[in-house]
Amino acid sequence: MVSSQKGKKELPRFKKRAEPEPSADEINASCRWFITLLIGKSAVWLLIGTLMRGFALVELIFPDLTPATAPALSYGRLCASASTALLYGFAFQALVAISFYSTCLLGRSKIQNRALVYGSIALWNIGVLSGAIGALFGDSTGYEWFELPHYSGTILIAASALFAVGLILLISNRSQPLIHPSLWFGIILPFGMFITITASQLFLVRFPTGGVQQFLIHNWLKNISFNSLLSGEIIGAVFYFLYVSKANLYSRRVALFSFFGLLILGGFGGISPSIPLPRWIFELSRAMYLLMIIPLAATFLNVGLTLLYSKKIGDTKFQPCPSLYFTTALISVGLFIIFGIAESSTTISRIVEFTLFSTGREFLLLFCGVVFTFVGFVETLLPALHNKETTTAAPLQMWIIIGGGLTLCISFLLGGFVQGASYYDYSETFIDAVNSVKPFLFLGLLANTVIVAALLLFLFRNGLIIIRAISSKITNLKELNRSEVIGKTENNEEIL
Amino acid sequence: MVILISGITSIGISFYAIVLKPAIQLTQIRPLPLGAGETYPSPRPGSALIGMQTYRSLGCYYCHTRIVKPYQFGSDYERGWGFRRAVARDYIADNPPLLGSTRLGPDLMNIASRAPEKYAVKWSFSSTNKTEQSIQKKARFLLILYDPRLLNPDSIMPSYKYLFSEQNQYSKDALNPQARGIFLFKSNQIIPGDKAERLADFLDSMKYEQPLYEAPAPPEPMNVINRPSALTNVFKNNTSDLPK
Repeated sequence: MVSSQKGKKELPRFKKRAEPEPSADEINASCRWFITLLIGKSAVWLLIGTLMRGFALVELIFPDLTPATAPALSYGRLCASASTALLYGFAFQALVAISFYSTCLLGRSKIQNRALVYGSIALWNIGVLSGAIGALFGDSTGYEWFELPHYSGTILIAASALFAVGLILLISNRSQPLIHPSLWFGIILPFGMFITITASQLFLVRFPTGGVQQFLIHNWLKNISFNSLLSGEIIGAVFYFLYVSKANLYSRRVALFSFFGLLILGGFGGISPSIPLPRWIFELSRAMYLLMIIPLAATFLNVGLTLLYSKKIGDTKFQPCPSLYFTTALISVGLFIIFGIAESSTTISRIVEFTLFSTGREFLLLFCGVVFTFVGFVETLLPALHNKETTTAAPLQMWIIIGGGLTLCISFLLGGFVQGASYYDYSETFIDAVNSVKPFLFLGLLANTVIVAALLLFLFRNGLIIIRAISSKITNLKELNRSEVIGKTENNEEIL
Repeated sequence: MVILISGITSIGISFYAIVLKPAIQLTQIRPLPLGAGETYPSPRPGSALIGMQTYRSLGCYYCHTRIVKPYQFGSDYERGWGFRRAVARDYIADNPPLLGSTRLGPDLMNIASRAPEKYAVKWSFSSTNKTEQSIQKKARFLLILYDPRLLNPDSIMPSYKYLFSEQNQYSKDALNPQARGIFLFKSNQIIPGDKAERLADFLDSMKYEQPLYEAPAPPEPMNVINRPSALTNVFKNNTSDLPK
């Protein structure tokens, strides 16, 4: 609390611009369509990715249902394509939208170089599309979540570089000298995306070293993406939500500690004793990942104390709907890291390694963490951005999305545990062990369908807002034209 | 800018510790000389290398791993998936290593030396001739790829029929169903395409049974039937038996 007051002092090196600080309306006007486009594209990719995942689950449960003549519809290719759609099409793009908007709002900065930012969106989506189609046609690299073929990877490297430049320009144009903690995570996101995609293309595709070194690189890339970038930006979004709800963050220093903790320790983990590597690598990875509990606890403490103090002051504007989205997203990040720590312990790893548990953990971050943050952000922002009221189905949509997301993750996490226990007991045949998972796969498919239904509702509700905004813009333009024509006619009459 | 630079440096710390430093150690691993010009692991034949790319392209690694877990760290040893744990040396010739992360299908590390449909069972052949045995084994792989449920009705593996072509007319080769992997099914002649054949070659090359210093065989002989369930002992076992 004290540190946030101290922060209001102007930084010595910061030169305040000659232009006046832009108002909230000016900021919204500058980034309205850019953010709407990013949100729209992310939502569509989320729908595509979820549909493909659902279709892959159907194939797993009913292997003879789909025609065996379509290679693009085989389970492995669908999963690879869905991963590309979900991670690059949805998660990164959605979090970039949050990062850009929070930078605009908290830094009091307007988007100026429109060609750059719109170009980066176009390039990014072309890259994701080519990657998803490439994976369907068998061009994936063979590394889960980094299955981008070389052509798609090159496009995404360029697009992430443009995102990073756009964000740097935005930061350098800000009117607020002090950078809010939520922006730290936002600033690092496009650079992290650039680093991970470039490293994956360099070390896994262009100049592969071969052997288990590539497993290490892949594992590091996956950890940085999930633990540092995605989890970090979700925490950043929660800090942003606290700010817009007029709850001052309890401590900047603790937030800084969490930020660096996630970045330093996030790359570790994900190595079990059965991975064919020297033992010290596993021990180092496990020990460092165990320390992740400290920045995580610091984050929860910071948010908890913020809420406690803001309640005492009683000046906050928390609305139940987005609050629940952000709360469950933050809890999902916590569980994701705690399950990761559990997974790297030898006792738990014996059971859950190579099971659906790891998939469930990744879904926990994607379908609960990122999806809830994204939907909460859109629910808060989009009506205000376009000055249009939203429909009344918001609570219904919230319960369907949260219910579907949690059920999907729980079914995979529990299924993974049952699967692991069945494998471990070698008196059971392998096929029996696989069959023991089928009820959980059914439940997962059901939850996946619920998520698709909720996403359709989400697209419908927010699509209505955008359609109304577009139609009112067209009406305004027509009125402007008409008034111009009337003005011209009057002038002509005067001349005559 | 300070936040940005220090943030990127922080990411670099884990890259150094968990990628660069181990890579320095791992790049020193060389193939083990076995004498008479042979090494372990031996280079894969060209057809198996092409098959490996088909394995990658079809996304087989989404359901199959290629890692035998250490003794008492799972039931791989008891299931007959290998008699020693997998080590870094096993993969030095592989690019990408395709280790896999989920086992919705069985581990394939030693699929060339064990029967695929049952665990802990060695391949059984009708012939003692090694060439004929190899042909029979390949035919079995092709049959699984064509329709896994022909061998096991409960299998959840997708069928890869698009890697095969069907003909109603019998060619001369069809008289010998084991020749070049051609086999008969429902009075049709099933001819595997190039990709199917190469994939079967890759599966046939997966055999990692060479005893190594860094991966000694487990201390007791395998006895699937008489041993108690490992699950009951999982929380009692310590980790001292894991290789250093």
